Amino acid sequence: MSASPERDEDLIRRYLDGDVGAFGTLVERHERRVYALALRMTGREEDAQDATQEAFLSALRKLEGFRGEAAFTTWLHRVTMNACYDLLRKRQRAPLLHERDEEDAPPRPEPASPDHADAVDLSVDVQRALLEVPPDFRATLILCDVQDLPYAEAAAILNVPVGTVRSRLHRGRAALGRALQASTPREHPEASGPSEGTMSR
Amino acid sequence: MTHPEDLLAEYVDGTLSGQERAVVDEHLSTCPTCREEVASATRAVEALASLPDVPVPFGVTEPVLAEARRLAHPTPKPARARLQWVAGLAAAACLVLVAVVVVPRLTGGRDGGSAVRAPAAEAGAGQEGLEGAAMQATPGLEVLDEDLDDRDARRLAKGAAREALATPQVTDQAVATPNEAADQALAEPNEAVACLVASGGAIDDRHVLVRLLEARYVGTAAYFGVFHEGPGGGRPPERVVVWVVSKSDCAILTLLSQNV
Repeated sequence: MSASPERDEDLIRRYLDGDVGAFGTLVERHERRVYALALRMTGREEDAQDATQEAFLSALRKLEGFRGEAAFTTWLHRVTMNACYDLLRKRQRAPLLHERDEEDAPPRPEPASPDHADAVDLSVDVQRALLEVPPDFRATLILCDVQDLPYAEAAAILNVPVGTVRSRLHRGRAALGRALQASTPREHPEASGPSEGTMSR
Repeated sequence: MTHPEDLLAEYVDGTLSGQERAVVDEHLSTCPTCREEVASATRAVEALASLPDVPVPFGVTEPVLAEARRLAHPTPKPARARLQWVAGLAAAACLVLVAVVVVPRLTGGRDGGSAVRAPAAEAGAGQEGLEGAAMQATPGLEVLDEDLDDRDARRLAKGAAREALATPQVTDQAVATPNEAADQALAEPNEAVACLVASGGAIDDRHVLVRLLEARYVGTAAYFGVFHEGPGGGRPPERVVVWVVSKSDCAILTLLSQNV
């Protein structure tokens, strides 16, 4: 992090000293990552919104007790992940991300070319396949491969040893790769070539 | 055969040392299972990297900010605040729903459906027992530190239209925790209401103010009034009209309507 923006810890202190705007800055700074994490984890926009609100509300209520023992981002990610787990437990039903009303979908790039349209479709396939991966493995995948966090950071968020992150990451990736191949074999013609040796199972 | 499992994630990431990498390469040359896993894992990493950034839907964190304001400036509630409270609850439920409405889904799921119906039900409850439209419960003022444009205003209208369509069945759990947190944080609406009226907006039996926001409209401090318009007499509204007026002089900045 560069020196110029105010540190999270300073914003928290300012909020606790009565500066409401400081908390707004904190939310603004982190909401994208929190929401993205929740969306990938739950696969439903409604749940992602609930989890995002729950995470920030819970963070807000615990700010007094936040002593900087872990980085705020780590802590916030953990709170978000817990909110996602709660929702997943509460709503054990099929994810519906792909069934949303297209007309009012969030703005996303217009398909400029057939290639681009394929890419958009593919990301829906990826999300769907991701939801087939068990939550503990999915969480690791999202933290390490979507949010690009270091293993140690993922370990801190998930409260597991780094070795567990390593093995969950590999297992999760392998499971996701298989789910992707099962759902969209045509997307990976090169992977089914005999020279790759990928069809041995 | 012992598989070097604890090395495979970093092998795929390309972060192993040369020596460790050689160990894995050696193993892969003789182990089809690990080869398959590494190929799958590589495919997964590429796929995950291709996932697009997702924008945070409008209004999602607003209840959080409202709660932050409330905690920072706790204000005692007036004794006869019950009515306002109910109206506020309805408005807060709407607020949470803006986000939902921005990205409405055809889920068909029970929870989704009831969540959409909830504000209508609450709004109905808030107005029950009132004698006529002159006393319709005024929604609290939602203050957003955001710059909105026509597209956002259109979403407000669509949201309110959807809500108007929803049948006012009472639901049990849809108005859940975040709303309770937000309800007390709505600002006093009188000035915003006065501004809407000064700009020419009618608030009566046929023009029911269902939502009130303060935000910027393309850079100008503004009030957003969302109305259900219809035949009145408790019959369902026919259209939603969003008025956007300048906060400083109550001039109309834009108007748009959406059929229900």
